[in-house]
Amino acid sequence: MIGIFGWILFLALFIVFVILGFYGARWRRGDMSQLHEWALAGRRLGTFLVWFLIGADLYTAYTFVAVPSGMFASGALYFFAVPYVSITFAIAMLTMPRLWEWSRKHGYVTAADMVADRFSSKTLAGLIAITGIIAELPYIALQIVGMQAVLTIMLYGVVPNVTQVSDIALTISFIILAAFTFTSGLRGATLGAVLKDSLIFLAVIVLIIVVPLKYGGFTTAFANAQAFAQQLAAHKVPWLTTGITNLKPAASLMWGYTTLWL
Amino acid sequence: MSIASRINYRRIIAAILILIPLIIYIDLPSYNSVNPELLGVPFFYWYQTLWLALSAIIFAVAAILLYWGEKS
Repeated sequence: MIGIFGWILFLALFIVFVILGFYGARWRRGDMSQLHEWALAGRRLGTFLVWFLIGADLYTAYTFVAVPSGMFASGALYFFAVPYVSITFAIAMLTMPRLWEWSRKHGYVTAADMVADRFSSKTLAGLIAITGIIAELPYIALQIVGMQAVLTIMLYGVVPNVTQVSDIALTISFIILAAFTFTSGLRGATLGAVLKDSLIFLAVIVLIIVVPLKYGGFTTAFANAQAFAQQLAAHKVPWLTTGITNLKPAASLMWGYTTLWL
Repeated sequence: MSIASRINYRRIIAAILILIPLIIYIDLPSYNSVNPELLGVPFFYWYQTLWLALSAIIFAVAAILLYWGEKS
């Protein structure tokens, strides 16, 4: 599917990621036996690097695989991701600086530390910590499923047993990830994030330039999508049912869109 | 003008700025249409994307109003 050049590029980038991840342990060196040095990079990342880190948190397999395929299957409804991102940042801007300041003043490392101190309740802190971990699990699972989908496409036609090979590849990549998180903490993740965000910027710019050039502009693209949807509708395939160019004026979906991002 | 009232003044403007994109996005019927198209992209898509960029600028201004001059 992706050819020999694609594989070389993929492996090269993968190696760079791994090297960056492990190099993180030495970068801006701190006393790694202290928890806040490991988990928060000594609280000295600065705005610019945190920007990269948050960017890498936000633009994941979900953004790159699930939202576009959702658009492909259901249409305009999945554009809810755009207002959602916008408003999330406003909420973060209002709450996060205060949280950061408190946390630095009192030496909190996690949200649970803050709750334990401020509400002086160990039970509540424990519950917050457990909620955080449980909430993280489906998120991680989502990323794994996304990566699996990517690997399946990459390996399709290359190896005879795609499922097994992609499972092994996923296991190896998670062992490496766990290893460099263990040695480098947030520093490794930050360096990885800078590279990842740069690649995302590159991908977005390339897409904006290449797609209109190659497929005869957005007008043609939307016209093709419309024709495709009509074909599907003729065969009673319920794809793109919420509209291609805008949400279908079926009133129930209008509220669905707003509630999805809120 | 005393310092306290100036801070409040800034906070009110910041709150209004933050509410603008929220109201824009909640008013779905106002942008749920195909026309006017921009370079072949339906209004529904480019309008929301444009507001993504505008909201980033607006939130940046609000952040400056809220946090500028604070000891970090």
